[in-house]
Amino acid sequence: MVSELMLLNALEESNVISVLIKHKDFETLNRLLNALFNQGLISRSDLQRLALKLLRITNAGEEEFEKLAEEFEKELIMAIRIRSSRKRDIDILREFNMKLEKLYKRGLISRSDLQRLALKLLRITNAGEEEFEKLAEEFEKELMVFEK
Amino acid sequence: MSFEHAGEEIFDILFRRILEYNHINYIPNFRGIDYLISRELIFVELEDTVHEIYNATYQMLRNIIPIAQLYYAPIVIAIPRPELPELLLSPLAYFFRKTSGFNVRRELWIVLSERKLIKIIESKVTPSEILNSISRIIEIKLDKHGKLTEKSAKRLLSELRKYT
Repeated sequence: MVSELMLLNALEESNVISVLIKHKDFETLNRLLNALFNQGLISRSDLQRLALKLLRITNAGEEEFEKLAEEFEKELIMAIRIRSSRKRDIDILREFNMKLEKLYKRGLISRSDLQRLALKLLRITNAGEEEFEKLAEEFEKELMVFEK
Repeated sequence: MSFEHAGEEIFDILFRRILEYNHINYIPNFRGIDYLISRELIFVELEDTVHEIYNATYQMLRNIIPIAQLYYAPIVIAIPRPELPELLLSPLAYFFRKTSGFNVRRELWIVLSERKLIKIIESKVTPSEILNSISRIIEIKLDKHGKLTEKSAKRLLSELRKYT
């Protein structure tokens, strides 16, 4: 399976994004953004932000064009990098859910603890990207107390 | 008795029997999804534990939603009755949140037995047409960002406990 890191290297080495911008192939760039989002390689907020930036590039005059194009490329690479650098939310949530089951089945938490912790996990599931990490860290610590 | 953790193959046999008993036509293993129900064009992914709902959601986002969107088709994750309904909350919320904003109808089916299902759907959305005669429909409220609220989660829990 191709990792995010390999994709990043390929994007950077081939210079494909700058070439597409230089040739003003905005349709392909737009398709690229959507494909990256559909594959989970960029977040929804990054998709929206980058799509707006692309729109600005299409309307930019010659002077502004190069500056915006350079920014776009950097931001896109950064968005993929950030996404790949942290463990995917899906893995973290799944691990927590399984841990709750184990704790309950081993008799380490009561049914009311299970409900309380499940509702807490719901809050983490609903959290935005910034809040997610903080809440997940707190939750992990809380579960560790029961595991001891 | 719950079929949870019995394995996807066992749950698959049970699910197929439900479809066949109710004379519902289907295509198995369609584009990486377990079932395409042809009468109403419903995409169904089976999972044998609540924990697998997260991955099923990801798979749907990648493979199915681009097609389902064209038809405003229902996308369904079907699971056996969970032993601990509390553990359904986060995966269910993940499914509804991640698939919000797409032109699809979302449903989570809980298979209680060969003759009984629960369909969890978003409130004010018309449920899929099939199997309604054997289904109990539970509506959940989502906020404007597609998130399952704590209040709605608690209400859902007390409903589900009647069946576990």
